[in-house]
Parts: sequence; C-alpha cells; structure tokens
Amino acid sequence: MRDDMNGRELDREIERALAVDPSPEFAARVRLRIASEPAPGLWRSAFALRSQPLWALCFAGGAVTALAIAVGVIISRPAPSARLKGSPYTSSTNVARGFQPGGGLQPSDAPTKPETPTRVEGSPDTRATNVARGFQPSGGFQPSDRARESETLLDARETRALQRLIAGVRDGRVDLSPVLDAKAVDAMDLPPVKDLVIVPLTIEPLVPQSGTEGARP
Amino acid sequence: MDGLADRLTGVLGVTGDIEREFEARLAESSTLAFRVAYGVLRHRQDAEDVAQEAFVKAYRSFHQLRDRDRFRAWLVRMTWRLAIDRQRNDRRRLAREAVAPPPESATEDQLVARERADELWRAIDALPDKLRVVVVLAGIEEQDLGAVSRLLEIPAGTVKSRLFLARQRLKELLCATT
Repeated sequence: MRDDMNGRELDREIERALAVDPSPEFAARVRLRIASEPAPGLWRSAFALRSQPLWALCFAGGAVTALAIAVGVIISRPAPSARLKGSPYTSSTNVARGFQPGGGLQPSDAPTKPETPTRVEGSPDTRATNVARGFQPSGGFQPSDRARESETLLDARETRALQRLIAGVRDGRVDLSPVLDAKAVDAMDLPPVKDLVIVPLTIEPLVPQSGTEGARP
Repeated sequence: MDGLADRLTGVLGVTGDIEREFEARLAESSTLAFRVAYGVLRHRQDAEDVAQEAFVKAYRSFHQLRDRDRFRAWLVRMTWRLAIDRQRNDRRRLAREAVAPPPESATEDQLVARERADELWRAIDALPDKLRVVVVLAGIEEQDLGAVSRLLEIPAGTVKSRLFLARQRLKELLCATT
C-alpha cells in the first residue's frame, strides 16, 4: 500500500494530518486564563518600587553618617589658623581685656565688670595659662577676634583675682620668684622605706556566753 | 508621594506595553502552539490545554525574553516539552481522536483515510524525538525548512538531514505495517 508512496506524498499526508485548527473559543480561553494571571514582572516591578526607596534610604543614611563623621573629625581637629587666631591666648579671655600693650590694668574695666561668668576656651586646668597668655605685650587683645571668643565659663571673681595677680607682678608688688624657684619634692629623693613589720593576726575563739540560748543577758 | 505615583504609573505603563505585545504574539502564534501540541497528542482538547499552559508559562516569563523575535521558537519548544510530558503522563492519550470509533455516517473513503492517518501517526510516534519534532514542524510549516530552522534554532542543513532521515524511517515503518 505504501510502497509507491514517495516523499512528497508523505509530506502532503502529514500536512493534512496537522491541518487542524483550534476551536474558535481557544484564543478567548487563553486570554481569559492569562487575564487571571498577575501581570508579568509585576512582582519585580513592585519589588523595584519598594527597593528603590529602600536603596535610597540606605544611601541617604550612609551619606548622612559619613557627613556626620566628617563634621565630627573636622570639629575635633581645629585648623592651625584657628588655633592661632581664635585661641583664648590672644583673644577670648576677658581677663586680658583689662590689659593694654603698655601694661597695667585699666581701672575703668575691672570695677564695672558684671558678676556674670565670662567665657574662655579650654579646660579649667588651662585657664590660668590662658589668662596669663591672654595678655599680649606687643599687640594686646585684638578686637577682631572677639567674635571667635569661646563659650567656656570662667568665674568673674577668679578673673579679677588673676587680673590683680598679673597686675601685681607687673607692678612689682607681687614677687613670684620664690614660687618659681621652689622645687617639687622628687619621688626619688624620698628616704628609702624600711622593712615593714606586720604583726600576725590572731583570732581568739569565741567564748560561749552563759545563760539561756536565744535569751538576751 | 508624587515620585511614588510616577513610578507606579511607569510600572503600570510598562506592564501595559508588555500585555499589548503579548496579545499580539498570542494572536499570531496560537494556531502554531495548538498544532505543535496536536502533533504530539492528536487530541484536540488536550492540545488546547497544553497550548494554553504554554501560553501561560510564556506570559509569566515574557518580560525575561530579551529578543522578542525568538518568541515563536521559545513557545514551540515550551509547547513541545509540555505536550511530550502530557503524552507520557496523561491517561487520556488512550482516547485520542485518531483511534476514536468513526462515526456511523462515515464513508468508506473516510474510513480508509482515517486508517492511513492512524498508521502514519503511529509511525511518527515511533521516531526519535529529534526527528519527530522536525517532521511535525515541517508539516505545520508546509515543509519550509528555513521556518523549521528558525523555530528549532538549529541550522537549516541539520533540519534538512534530519527530515531526510525521518522520511526514510517513516517509509520503513509504514512499509512494515502493510
């Protein structure tokens, strides 16, 4: 039956067998089925919508953190120019205000000073040094630097006392040479410590008290 | 908030574009997918189910398909695999249209033609998968080897040699059954 079938006939027969069309409602069914599907890539888009602000937030947070660190580093490390111009040694101490290059305390300043604390920069340990250095024999206090006065509080009474001390030294009323010549006792100069004698501790046994147990004598 | 609305509008716009493009692909490829599935299953309802499943899978991954010109080849391969899986697993293959009892009103010629078609399909089913898909796609594309080459994404020479081998095997099988 098929012995005489050549390739062409076979191809035509296969084509006829495959020439079947889907039902008319096939495309509609597919569309309906697809319509019930979520939009393609919507989850990705939704993720992108959510992740984009998340990335933006992460980036913004990182940028803010880096900026805060940078600002902190800059603030904690003052510039050399600020150290020279803005330091209390030359400008900010009210202690030095009373002094002029020529020396001496201006009487008009000190009595009229209010009792409110004045502000100088630096720790309390360095206040005296700052006060002393605040006086510049050559240039005195530079008014242009007042704007950069620091905010550290200094008691007005302490200020006046230091001003009087400095004025006294300059006038010769106060002699600081004994203080300058005084030598602190060096630890190496101390006499050697003798051998310590520690009396052994003895613990005496407790003596039972007379009377009824639990009753106060 | 406006930025979010703009982005949402953009996303929905992109989604709408994808849906429109897929609708166009569906319109031009629905018969192809059905015939590929029918070439394996020879059951109209099964073939429609498989083709529909292939379209749904294609729709889900359509946004990942960078080269949209490859959609038909992509769809054909997907449909073929689904149809082969269905043929292997579905018990309904026993109720193929080809082996269904002929209607009482069928003429003798129709009965002979049906018998010949059954023999042919049995021979095609006996082919190796590589030859089988070439024969089916060549029958769908009316022996356009270039079209088959594009659908299978293999060289046209390979399609030609496979089709030659398939015809030889079919002739042998059909002669053996007579």
